[in-house]
Amino acid sequence: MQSGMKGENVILEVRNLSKFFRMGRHSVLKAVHDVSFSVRKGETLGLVGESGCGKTTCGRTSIGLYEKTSGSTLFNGKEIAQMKGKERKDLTKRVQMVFQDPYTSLDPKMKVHRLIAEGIRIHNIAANRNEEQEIVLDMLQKVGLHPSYAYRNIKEFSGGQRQRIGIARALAVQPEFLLCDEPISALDVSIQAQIMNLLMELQEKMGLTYLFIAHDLAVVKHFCDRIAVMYLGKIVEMGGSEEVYGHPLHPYTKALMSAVPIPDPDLEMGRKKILLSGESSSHMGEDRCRFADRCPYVSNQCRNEGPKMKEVAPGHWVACHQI
Amino acid sequence: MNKLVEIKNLEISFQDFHGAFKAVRDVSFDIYEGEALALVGESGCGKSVTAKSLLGLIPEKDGSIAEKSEILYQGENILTYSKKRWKEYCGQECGMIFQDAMAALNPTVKIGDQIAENLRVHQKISRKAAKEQAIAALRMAGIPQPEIRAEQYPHEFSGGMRQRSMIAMAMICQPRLLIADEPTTALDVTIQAQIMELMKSLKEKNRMSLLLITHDLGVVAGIADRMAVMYAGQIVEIGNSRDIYYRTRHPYTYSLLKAVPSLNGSHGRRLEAIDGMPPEAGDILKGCPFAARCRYCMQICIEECPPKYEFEDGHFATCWLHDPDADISDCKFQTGGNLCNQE
Repeated sequence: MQSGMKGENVILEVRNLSKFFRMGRHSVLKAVHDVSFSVRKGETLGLVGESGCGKTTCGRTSIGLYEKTSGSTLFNGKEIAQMKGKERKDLTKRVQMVFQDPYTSLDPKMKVHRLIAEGIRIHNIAANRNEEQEIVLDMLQKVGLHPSYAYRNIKEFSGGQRQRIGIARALAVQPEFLLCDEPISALDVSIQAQIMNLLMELQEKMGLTYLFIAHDLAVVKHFCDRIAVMYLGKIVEMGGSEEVYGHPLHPYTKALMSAVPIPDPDLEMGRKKILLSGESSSHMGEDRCRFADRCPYVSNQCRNEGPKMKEVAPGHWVACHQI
Repeated sequence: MNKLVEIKNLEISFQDFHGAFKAVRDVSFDIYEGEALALVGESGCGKSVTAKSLLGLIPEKDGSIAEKSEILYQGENILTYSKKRWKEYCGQECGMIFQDAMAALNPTVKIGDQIAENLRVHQKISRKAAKEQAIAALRMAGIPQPEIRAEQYPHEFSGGMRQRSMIAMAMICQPRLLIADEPTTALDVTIQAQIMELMKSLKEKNRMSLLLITHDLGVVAGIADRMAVMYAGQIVEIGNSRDIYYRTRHPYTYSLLKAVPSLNGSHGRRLEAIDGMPPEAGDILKGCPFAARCRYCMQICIEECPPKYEFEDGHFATCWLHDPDADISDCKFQTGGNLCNQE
C-alpha cells in the first residue's frame, strides 16, 4: 500500500486493482495485476509501457469502464463499483475519455455539432437548444476549430482536426477528469505537437486532471508530472517525471529509456544502448517477477517471488528485488 | 565514394477520379555506395512512392513515371530495363523491407521456404542448399532456434521476429542496396532498438547501401549518414545528417525538429507546433509548398518555386530565405547550432 500518496486532493485512487480476462476454459489472462496508484487534482499521470502491457485495460478499469476483478477504485473518495443510478450517471459526466483513433471513435454519420452536443443532451446541461449551440460553438473555439465547422460532416476532417473534435466532445460536459488513451499516436509529427499544446492549454484553463496513456516516452516526459511504467500488467516503477527520467532504477525502465532514439546524431550515435534480449512474454505467468526472463540482473529470488513496491525516494516507487 | 543510384527529375503521378495528381514532383538525389540515406517526411509526402519506384513497384494501371525521369543504377537506367534484367535486379541487387511484415509475408508458406524462394529464383541452387542458407540467414538476423523457426508460419512469429525474417529475406542474396520502408514503425521501442542495431551491423558487414524511409527523426539520427527531407512530393533539404541536424537550412526541417519532444528536453515546455496541415496530394501548388505554414513566408514564396541553394558540401535547401536579396534578420534557424539544447 502506498501510503505516501494519500492526500485530500487525490481525485482518483486505485488500490490493488486487478483485471483478469478468461481465455477459454482453463486459462486466465492477467491483463492488470495488483496495481495501485493515485492521481491528484490538476496533475497529469502518465501510464507508459509497450503494446500489450495492459495500460489501456488499466486505464479503462480504473474509471469503471471495465468491471474489475478485484481491488478498489475510488473517485473523489467513493468506490466506483458501488455507484448506481444517478450517481453513476454523474460519474460519466465528471470523467471523460479521449480515444486513440479519431477515425473510428467518432460516428461518421453524425455532424460535428451533434457529436459534441450528445453528452450535453444526455446530462441536461443546456436549458434549451440555443444554449446548447452556444456551448458547442464555444467548445469548437476552445479546441482551435472554426465555429462554422459545426454543421459539417466528420468525414471532411483530417486526423488532427478529428482529434480536436474528439477532445471538444469529451470536454463539452465539463468533466474534471480526462482519460487520454494514446491521443496523439495516430497523428503526424507536426500535428502531434499541436494536439499536445492544446491539451496542456486546456488543462491550465479548465483545471483538468489527466490520466495520460502513451507508449512514447519522450511525449510522456514532456507532458506528465508523474509517470508510472507498466510491464505485463504490473507497475514496475512510479514517481515524479523528472525523478524517474533522471534516475530510472528498475532495469526495465532503464532499458526502455535507453531504447528511445534521441533526434541528435552525436548523442544518438555515441550512446550505448541497453539492448534487451527477447520480447515480452505472456500475461499468464505465475506470481514472480514478470521481467525476469529479459532482465540482465536476474537472480533466483526473481524467479520465485514477485517483488513488492518499495519507496526508494519520496514519491519514487520501484518494484524490483535488486534495489 | 561512388554513386550506386542516381535519381534524376523523378516525377510520379497517379490517376484517380479527380484526374491526375503528382505524388512526387521533380525529385533528384543520389545514393552512394555503403552509405545510409534517410528519406524523412510526414505521411503522404511521397517518400514511400519514391522508394517503391526504385523497385518498379509503382502500379502500372494508375501510376506513371514521367518520361524525363531517370533512375540510374550503376549508370544504367532501370526504367528501361528488360523483363529479364528486372528479375535479376529485384531481390538480388536491391532488396526491400516493408513496414507491415505480416502483410508482406505469405501467411500460407513456411518462413524458411519464403526466404529460400528468393535464393532459388536468383541462383542455381538445390532446394536443400537453399533451405540451409535460409536457416543461416535467420540465424544472422538474430532469430533463436532457426532450424525450428524455419518450419513455422508467419502467424507463429511475433512482430519483431517477423521483421527479422523480412530482413533475412531481403538480405539473403546480399543486395547492394537495401530499401527499408518504415521498418520499425509498427514495433515497440525496445524491439525497435534491436532491429536498428541489427540493420546497422548488417550494413557495415556487407558494405551495402541503405535507403531508410521513416518519419522518426530519432531513428534517423542513430543510423543515417545523409538525409533528405521531403514535403508535399519535393525534397526541401538534403545533406549530411549532422549538417541538417545542427545547421538546419529549411524552415520545415527546423520546425519538424522543434516539434518533436525529446528525452533530453525539459518537461512542460510548449512545443513549437507547425500550424495548419500539409497540402493534399491533389492540390495544385504554386510557389513553395510549405509557404502556407511557414513562419518566414515572403511574397515571393507564394508566387515562385524556390531554387536549390548549396551550403556545406552536398547540403542543399530549397528556400527563398537563402536568396541574397531576402531579408533574414529575424530568421532564427539560420544560426544553426544544436537544436536539441535550444530552448
